[in-house]
Amino acid sequence: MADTTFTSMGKGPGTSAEEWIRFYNAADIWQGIRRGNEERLKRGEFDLRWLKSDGGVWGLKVEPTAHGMTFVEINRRTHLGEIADEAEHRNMAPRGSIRDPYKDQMPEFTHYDLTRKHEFWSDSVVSLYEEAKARQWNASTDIPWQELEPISEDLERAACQFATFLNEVEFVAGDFPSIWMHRIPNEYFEAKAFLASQITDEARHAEVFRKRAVANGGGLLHVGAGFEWALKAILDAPSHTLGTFMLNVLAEGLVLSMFRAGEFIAKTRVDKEIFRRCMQDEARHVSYGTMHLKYFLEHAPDRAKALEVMHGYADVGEQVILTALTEPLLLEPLAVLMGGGLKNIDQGMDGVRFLWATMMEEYLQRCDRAGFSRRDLIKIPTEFPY
Amino acid sequence: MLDVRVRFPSKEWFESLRDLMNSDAERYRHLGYVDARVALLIAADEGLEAPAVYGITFEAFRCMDVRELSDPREIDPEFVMEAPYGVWKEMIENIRANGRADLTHTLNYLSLPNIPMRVWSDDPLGRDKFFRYNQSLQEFFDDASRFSTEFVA
Repeated sequence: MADTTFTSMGKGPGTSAEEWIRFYNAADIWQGIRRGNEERLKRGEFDLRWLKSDGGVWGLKVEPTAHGMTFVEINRRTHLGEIADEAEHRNMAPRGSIRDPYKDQMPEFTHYDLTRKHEFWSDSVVSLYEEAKARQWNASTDIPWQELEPISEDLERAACQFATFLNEVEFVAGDFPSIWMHRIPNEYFEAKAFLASQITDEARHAEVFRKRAVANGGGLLHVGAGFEWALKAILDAPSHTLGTFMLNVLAEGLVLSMFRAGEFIAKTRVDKEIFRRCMQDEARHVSYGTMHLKYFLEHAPDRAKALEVMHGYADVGEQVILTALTEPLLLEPLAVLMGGGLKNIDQGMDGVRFLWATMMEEYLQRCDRAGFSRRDLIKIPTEFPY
Repeated sequence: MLDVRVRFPSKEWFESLRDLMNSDAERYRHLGYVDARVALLIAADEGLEAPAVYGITFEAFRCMDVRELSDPREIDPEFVMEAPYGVWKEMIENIRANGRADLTHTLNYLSLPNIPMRVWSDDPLGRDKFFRYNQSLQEFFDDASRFSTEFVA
């Protein structure tokens, strides 16, 4: 009978506590390291090999810039910026450290299997990480919640339904990078750090819309099955690049436009601030996705094959996203907010039509920028067809 | 509130915003980096006989440079904010009257439908910087509430 006490991680040396114990008991390298360390300590000897920088770099001072002491500057001015196209070390030894002498003793981290840089890198990822840190905000204290004003019930319900949608979808952009982040070796720390910043951003977005839904006397309203299928399709992505395209370029690009629309249609200053700040974060994620796609296509060993797979994936991905986009739980509250009330929902649909066309054109522009033209292939109508 | 009156459009008007930003480092540090070259095009309209173009360079937490241009592309801007003079005037008057842009005069509000303000770029990633730095840009323009503006018409 299966042990149901714990859910297994499914990676590493075993899928049960017994297997883990057996593996670590049998792996004698770490026990040998410990024995050597203990014997040295008993002898009262010092090792002091860390005082030597043989094989490393020592003595280069880096000054902070106006941005502070950034990875951009550190990587530009020191050997830490030498980034291999494929990770040789599948462990947590930092890039630029003295690590070769220890190679034979190092364990292999079996979950570090995304070893090729082109599967997650973007030329902008280092500066985007620094920007992400600099532009953090706090959903509890940076939004002027005390200024939230009563609005008519139909508008409040629309605002709450829109907030419910965003509460439901936003953290997929936290869950998705978390699935892949721990598979990227430490060699590419900056990419991992950027993904960590995206997870933090998305936690804040889910938080702020969850709070907004109840803050003005409303509440969370309806979830959508169409949204859930799109979210599942993103999380089920068969590779980091494919999923990043669907999440960061397609889905987040559309949500970025929705945040712009949210700021545009906001009926209170509180809502305006929420959407404006979320828009900033989302634009960073979109920028990473676009530039990663470009990097991937420029460095994939077989570009033609990569394009073929990407297009096949996008053909279906766009249709799944279309399912979410056509949900009445999204379109109708947007139309009510744009029209200024339930009685003006038809006029509001004109705004939705404009937003739809804007979203699609911006998506196509970003695909073009990445070298992945979808203009003749896109499966989502570029004009609102309903 | 500064006891000065500055003509719009002019290089001095944008320099006033620059000085206000650079004297309020703590607020802009809290908002985060802005690394962008931005061109502002004030199209001829309602008494402004010829278009006026300015280039603003932001770096980290400061406004580094303001210059008058003959063409927006002169500074290889990441994005261009373009609107008729009357739109800029109304936005600035609104900021002055309310202490900041009200709900219908924010930069995003004015530009989302592409009218009356248009934010454009030759590079979609450049245009995305308008979104990435929007809060800082809004507060930069909201500082126009802190001095008097004299309009050319």
